Amino acid sequence: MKKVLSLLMAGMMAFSLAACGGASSTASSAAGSTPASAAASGGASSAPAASTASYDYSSYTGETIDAIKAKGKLVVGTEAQYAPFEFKDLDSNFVGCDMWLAQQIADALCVELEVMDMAFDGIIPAIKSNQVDIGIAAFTVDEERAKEIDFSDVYQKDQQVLLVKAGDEDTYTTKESLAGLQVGAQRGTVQSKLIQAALPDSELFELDKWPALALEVINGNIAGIVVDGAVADGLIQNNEGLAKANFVFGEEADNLGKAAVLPQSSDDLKELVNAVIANVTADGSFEAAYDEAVALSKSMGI
Amino acid sequence: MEFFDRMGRIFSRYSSFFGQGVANTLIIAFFAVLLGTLLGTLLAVLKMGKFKPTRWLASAYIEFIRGTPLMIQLMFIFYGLPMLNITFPEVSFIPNFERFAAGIFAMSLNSGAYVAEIIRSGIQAVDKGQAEAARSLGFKENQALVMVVLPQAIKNILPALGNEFVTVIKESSIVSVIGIADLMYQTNSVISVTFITLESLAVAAILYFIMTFVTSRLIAFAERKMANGTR
Repeated sequence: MKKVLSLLMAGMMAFSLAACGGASSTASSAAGSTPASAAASGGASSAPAASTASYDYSSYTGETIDAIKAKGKLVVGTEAQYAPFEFKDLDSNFVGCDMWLAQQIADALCVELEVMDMAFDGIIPAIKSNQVDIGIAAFTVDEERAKEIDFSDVYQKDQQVLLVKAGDEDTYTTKESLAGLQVGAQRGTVQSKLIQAALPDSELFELDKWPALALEVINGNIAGIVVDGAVADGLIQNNEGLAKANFVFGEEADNLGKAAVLPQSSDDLKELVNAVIANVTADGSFEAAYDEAVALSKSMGI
Repeated sequence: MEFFDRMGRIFSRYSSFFGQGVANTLIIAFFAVLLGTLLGTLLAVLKMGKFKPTRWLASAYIEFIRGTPLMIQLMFIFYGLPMLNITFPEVSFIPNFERFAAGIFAMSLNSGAYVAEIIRSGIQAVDKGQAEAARSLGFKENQALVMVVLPQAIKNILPALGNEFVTVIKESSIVSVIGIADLMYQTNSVISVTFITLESLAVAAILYFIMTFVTSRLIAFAERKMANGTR
């Protein structure tokens, strides 16, 4: 599976090189042969397609884009500890659907991708101090953050799930049933805002990381936690003490989406990023990359 | 038991993650201890010196560093210094050198303050008569310090210094907050893909214990070697 994926990645890069115009003969021959060998080794039909091959982004120019092209690389800041959006595979490669998107943007710019792994809280400071060109780390659009940086268009909306202790699935089904109880979320995340909006009578309990929050629920310290759907699946699969509550968030959850983060003075780059996002979400290749990342992260369980 | 079974499976599947983490932790601890010892020796000498301003400065530094959390010191060094346009150099052939340099720098500054107090107490524990005897045999003051007092002091401080080494290995887990892939950071990576928390932490605890235990055994060995010379 990993082999197929890396072959496809190689294929994708070769394709995009061809799209960038300056492709050498070796690149085009690789582009010709790679899909065949990928098919021979199992045919991953669900694998993300090389979408940039069919799009032309050369019309996007500007100060920021020129600077990145001069540098020859797009530096992306992320925290690779949030499967399936961004994480490391067994060979310590950066993988996940956000990293796939980052590769698409780098391809659109005809430059190499450099991923800079850092603490989540450090990404926005790194953008403001120009240590990275763009942040892609499952960021949720938020007015507070928008004062410091710019958001791209939304590229993904994940389902929000309430996880509770196994056995409590049918106890906590309405916001009334959670009144006066503590509900947890990662500090500063969309989930913590969602709890404040959708569960006004519950008490918000915040910690820095979801692993500790999950333990709080398993030990019965708090009633439940709100996490992204993909994280919820992973947690339930590997922790017997957790279950999905039969609880559905209302319209409060509808406007929450994930977007890339850019410096405020880079409208040219933002336009290009938005164009890439529009293309890969419209043609379904982002969704395929997301499914692929979910499958990969599931295969990494023990 | 299922817990140990899962620990074993996590370790065997993610040994590359843990291995890299152990290597990075050891690199940081090694350089932090090395630079911290140099800084600590300098601080101890200044603090016991005759020149008042440096004596005061060394004391103030030691008190301040020992009285504030390492976490905050690290944040100021890594995120604060660049805002004053002080940056760590990038070295092309060492990935993440900038981060490592900041991490090691912060750990060394911190460890130096503790080592200084260890060395000072060690030197002051050597009987005054030793230095006086050396002086009356014609040694100059710094000769007496280096050739007579320090060798005896090192023997006194070795256990405490060993403790400091062990402390640095454990405390280095704090550098994971600035994104250095030390053992703690790698453990968090493992948790983030396996969704299994306590078992992953238990593996990390065992690895930390192996590192600290081996270190303290090595120090004990050095102590015994030095004790041989005294009779």
